Amino acid sequence: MQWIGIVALMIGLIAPSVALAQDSSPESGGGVLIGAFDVGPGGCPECPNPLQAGAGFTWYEKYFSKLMLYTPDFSEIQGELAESWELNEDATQYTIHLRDGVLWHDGEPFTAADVKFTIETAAHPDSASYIGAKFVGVTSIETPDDLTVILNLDEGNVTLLDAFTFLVMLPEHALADISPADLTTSSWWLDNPIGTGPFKWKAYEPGQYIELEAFEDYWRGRPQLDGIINRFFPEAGSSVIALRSGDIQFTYMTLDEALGLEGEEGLSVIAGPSQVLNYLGFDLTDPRFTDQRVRQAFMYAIDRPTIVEQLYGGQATMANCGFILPQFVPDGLNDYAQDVEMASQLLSDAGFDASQPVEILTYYGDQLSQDVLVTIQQFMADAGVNVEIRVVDVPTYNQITPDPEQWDITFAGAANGPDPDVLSSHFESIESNPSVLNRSNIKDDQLDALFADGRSTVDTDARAEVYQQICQIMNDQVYWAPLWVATRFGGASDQIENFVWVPAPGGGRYYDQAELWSLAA
Amino acid sequence: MGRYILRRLLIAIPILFAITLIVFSIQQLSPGDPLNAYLPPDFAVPEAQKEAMRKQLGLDKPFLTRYGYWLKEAVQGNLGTSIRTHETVVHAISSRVGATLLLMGTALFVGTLLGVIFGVVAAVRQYSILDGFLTLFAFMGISTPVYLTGLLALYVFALRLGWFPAGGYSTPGQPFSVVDRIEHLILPAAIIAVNYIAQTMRYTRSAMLEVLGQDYVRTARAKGLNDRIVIARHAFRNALLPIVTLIGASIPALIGGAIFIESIFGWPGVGRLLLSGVEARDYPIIIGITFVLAIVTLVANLATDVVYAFVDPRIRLD
Repeated sequence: MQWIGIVALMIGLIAPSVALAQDSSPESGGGVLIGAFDVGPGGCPECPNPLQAGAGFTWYEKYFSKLMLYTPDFSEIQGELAESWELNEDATQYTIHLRDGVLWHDGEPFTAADVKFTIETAAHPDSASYIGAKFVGVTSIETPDDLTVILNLDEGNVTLLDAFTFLVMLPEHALADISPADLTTSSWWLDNPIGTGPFKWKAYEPGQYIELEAFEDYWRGRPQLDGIINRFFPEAGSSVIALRSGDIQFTYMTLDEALGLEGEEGLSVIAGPSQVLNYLGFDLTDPRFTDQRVRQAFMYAIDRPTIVEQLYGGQATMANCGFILPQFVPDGLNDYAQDVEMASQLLSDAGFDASQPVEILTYYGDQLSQDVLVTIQQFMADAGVNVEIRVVDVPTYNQITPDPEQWDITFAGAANGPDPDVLSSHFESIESNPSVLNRSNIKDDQLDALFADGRSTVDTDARAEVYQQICQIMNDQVYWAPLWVATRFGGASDQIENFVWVPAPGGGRYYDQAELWSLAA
Repeated sequence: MGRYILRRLLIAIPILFAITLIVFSIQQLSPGDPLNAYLPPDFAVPEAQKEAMRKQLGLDKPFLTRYGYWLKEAVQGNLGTSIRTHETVVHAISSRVGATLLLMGTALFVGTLLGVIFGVVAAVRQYSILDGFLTLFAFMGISTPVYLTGLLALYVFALRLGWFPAGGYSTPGQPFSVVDRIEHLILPAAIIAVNYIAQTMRYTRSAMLEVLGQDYVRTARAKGLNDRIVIARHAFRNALLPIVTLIGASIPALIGGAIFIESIFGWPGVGRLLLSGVEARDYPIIIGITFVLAIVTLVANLATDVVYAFVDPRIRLD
């Protein structure tokens, strides 16, 4: 137990400098920030277990921490609880150096054993964690000392760094006695979860809010705020009213709501790319869509710039393949400028049977998406294709889509960042990777090889080149008709200082410096 | 009367059983299971992981096995565990029923009281300007959907005028205070109350009009009785029957809550629990709430029938 003494000594040495650093910053009012952190697609209100949640990371990161996070512009991954890391040259071994002096909310030190415990728990099948599933390739975890973790992988995979931005660290000392299966349903998550984040658990009022309070011993120093509250809004529109009336200081907003907020005194609209690609996904087991020319005809028929301009008010970026980040997009892509004649020609060349209607299935029930689909319907009618629209809810969509008999084309969204490999699960063939989510049934050996290549290429530039090739194939083959990446919005009171929030699929996963947020008096 | 009540209670058992079976089957038929609701549509989850999740949620068992298990536990007072939050269903309902009772109780009380008063006034002053105004109000109250009035009320009274907080049950982070609770209660309760007022008023008005035309009312008037006594004793008491029916029919809502209003105002009640349960395909929650509501409805109907006998001695239950 000597290390406890050492850690305590180091904290003793570090603490005064932290205190000094705080003293030099301007005195701020403290206060308690109330936000609707789980409103919108990035939120997961009252989801107790972050290992099983698909969203809600903005909020989880207020009390839990990860080893790594993206920078707010998502251009690179930076250390959080990890101070640094090295990958061997074929990305089969990760050596992670942990930050010294990090404490759990109950005062215990954070160590390599916690990292090992977290990864093993998450990857255990009984945890039923899709995040944990990203770590199944880890064959062994070594902890040579309290601040070093070495992961050995069965095959090269650089995307584990991205996976670490999903994985909240869990305290072994509090959870070691609970089996992974019991942990999934444990009351611990909503009772008194222990993290290493800037705020610690204070109260949970079911159906109302979760309240956190400042963690005095946070490793970056005590947060400026005294506390932070996540209020739940089952009806999203109500959260904007609460923001405008001053009851809360932050919420996610839709495009319409953001436009309505323009010029409102004391409030700011924050806009950023959603990192979600909207696309038309073809059922490639349907003989009508096996011909590349038919799929291209859809691209030529739909006037995407007009939709983006008229319906999105310019708040979307055109996509000509799965990616829009410049490093992954090669020069000379076909931009499929609208050409109805070309579309009709391609359809007739391919012998497309226009007598049968084509159904577009979507889970987007909002007004904007309905307008978009009706417009697409009109464009397709001009090219001689009779499109019908079917809107279902997400559970129904998830149940229908694995069965190609039940749908023709989907209008959906898929995260296309921050790491480009996120699209691999949609494009890799089931034959090459049984755990993928390839609803379109894409089978392209070249894509399979390139995605595998992208995962094992360590050098950033070489890796980007791989995704440029992938982008080129997506643009040419149109297995999905890529449409655009829309902008998403948040609204924040000008009372909040140093506030950092950007939209992200599933929310969070970037360093938002929450410990510096403060409320002006 | 005792035998009548006993017989009704015995009949209720097979009815309850049938209700649970129907709800369980409908739930089974609805597309998408809890797992489909849990995962975002663009998430890749390996089959092994999905199987583990299904097993944990008990979704791998056949329908009848699950129903049988649920029934066995339900008889012993255990309604299962929420799939989404892992809370026990009994706890989920009992921890929210207080909020719903407060909201719906206030609304029902105010709504019935004002509804009856307005109804009597409108009937007594039939075709007056007041009657026309009240009838117009009742029509608007019944015809306007609450999700519209709810959002409008939030916009006007919370945002523009700033008289009330913009939804919620209490001010987050503040210790409980009665004043704070009442401030949060007024808007949502008032909107639901307007609906009750409108309904009750219309029933009361037409019942009163019917009674006021009866011979015995004319006789009472001919005797030279005070008009006030004629209306209160002779007319109103006989017009009570439909009002009792209406109140009886509203009792289940005291427990079931108001789905739209609770959602718009972020009121942590049973109605909202049901809605989030449906969205998440959280069938233990859906069936648990339906089961409790079925019991309350059956009991409320029985109670209404018994009250009939008191209100109108001509009715014999045996």
